[in-house]
Amino acid sequence: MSITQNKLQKSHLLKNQAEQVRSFIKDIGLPLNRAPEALGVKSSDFLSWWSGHQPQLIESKQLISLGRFLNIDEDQIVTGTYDKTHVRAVLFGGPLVLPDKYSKNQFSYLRSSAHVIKFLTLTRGQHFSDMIMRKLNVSPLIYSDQNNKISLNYFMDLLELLSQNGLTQDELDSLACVLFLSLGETTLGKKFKNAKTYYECYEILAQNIHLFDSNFDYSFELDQVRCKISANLHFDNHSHIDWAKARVNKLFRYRIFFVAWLPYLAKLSPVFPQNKITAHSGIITMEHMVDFREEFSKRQICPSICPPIHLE
Amino acid sequence: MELENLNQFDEALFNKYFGTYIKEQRLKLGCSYDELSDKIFTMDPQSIELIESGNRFITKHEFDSLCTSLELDPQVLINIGRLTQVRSLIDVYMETNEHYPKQTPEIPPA
Repeated sequence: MSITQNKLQKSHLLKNQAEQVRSFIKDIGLPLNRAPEALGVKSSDFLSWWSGHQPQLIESKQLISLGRFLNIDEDQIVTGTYDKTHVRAVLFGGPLVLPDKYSKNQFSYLRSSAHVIKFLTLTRGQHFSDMIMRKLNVSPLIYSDQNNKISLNYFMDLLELLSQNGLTQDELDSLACVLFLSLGETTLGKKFKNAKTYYECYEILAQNIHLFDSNFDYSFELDQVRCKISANLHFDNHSHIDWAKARVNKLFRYRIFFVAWLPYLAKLSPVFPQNKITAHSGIITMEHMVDFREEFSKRQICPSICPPIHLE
Repeated sequence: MELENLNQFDEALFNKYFGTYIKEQRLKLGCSYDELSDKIFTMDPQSIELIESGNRFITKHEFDSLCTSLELDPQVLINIGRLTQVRSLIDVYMETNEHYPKQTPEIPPA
């Protein structure tokens, strides 16, 4: 392809992109006095472009700026796949507005995923975690109150999106292990921190599981040597969820690591449970059997598996 | 707080996460490589850039200087240290624990 053809093709793409932005602005009703700020351009340049002059004004940089301004992924502007209600709510009703699929059946507290965002910020930077939040069409500010509730759909989408954005399975597995990042200094975190034994740790979980989520009906059978956790998920309460196999597997795998790594909050080494999943009409049951004795024996045989933490 | 305690589990991984935090904090303070280098006499701008990308090991003295100059939060540093411990523990458990979920159990047909 010649240089002239390349230039023509680029010019055509930019023109299309600019037209998409124009339609988008009209569609969502972005006030023209806020548009220059949203696009990151001077008012005079914007007016010139809006009037049909300066057609080259809108490039990728302006598109990204517009996406950030509205907390949405810029690709959705070009492809027209944005959620108009959500965008207008962000634009006019403040930033803490959830898309429909996250605002129905809100059975999860945001504290159950706050550590994931902190993990992303620490390991990949604020820009990365903000980008993930934009792609989910939620404000990066939603974690300002971890008592807010959200649908299980959100967490499943989050895991899926992280997998699409470069997190390996090992990193996804790490997510459930880093609860301490968000829970550490909270009242609940301190309860776990004060636990001296596995029994105490899982007892605190049993007493406080409702502070994480109520997507599942939980039952605990706990004694000094083992803990059996049964979690029933009723389809009737979650008809809005996309039950694609890969998504469900990621969720269940996360939950196994979550159960295993809770003792780490009490500076005890993790215990991987034995797991069993059964499905009956309309209900999925997930059982985790945590045997504390196995961990005790391992620690005696090989104490270096979990060296004591002396960080503070 | 001792650097040796923070990076005892995986120094390279610690440096990677530490570099990310350094960069965030430098940008938050609106500080260029040159400006930061001026504050820390013993480090040139290239060294800071390498530290931010996790590609240069840091000495205790450099760690202390960066902590002071960039007003690093001790709790964040502890968290970064624990993240590397988590990673190391996962590696150990993956190899040694019979219940480590190499494969996720799947939902059987109802």
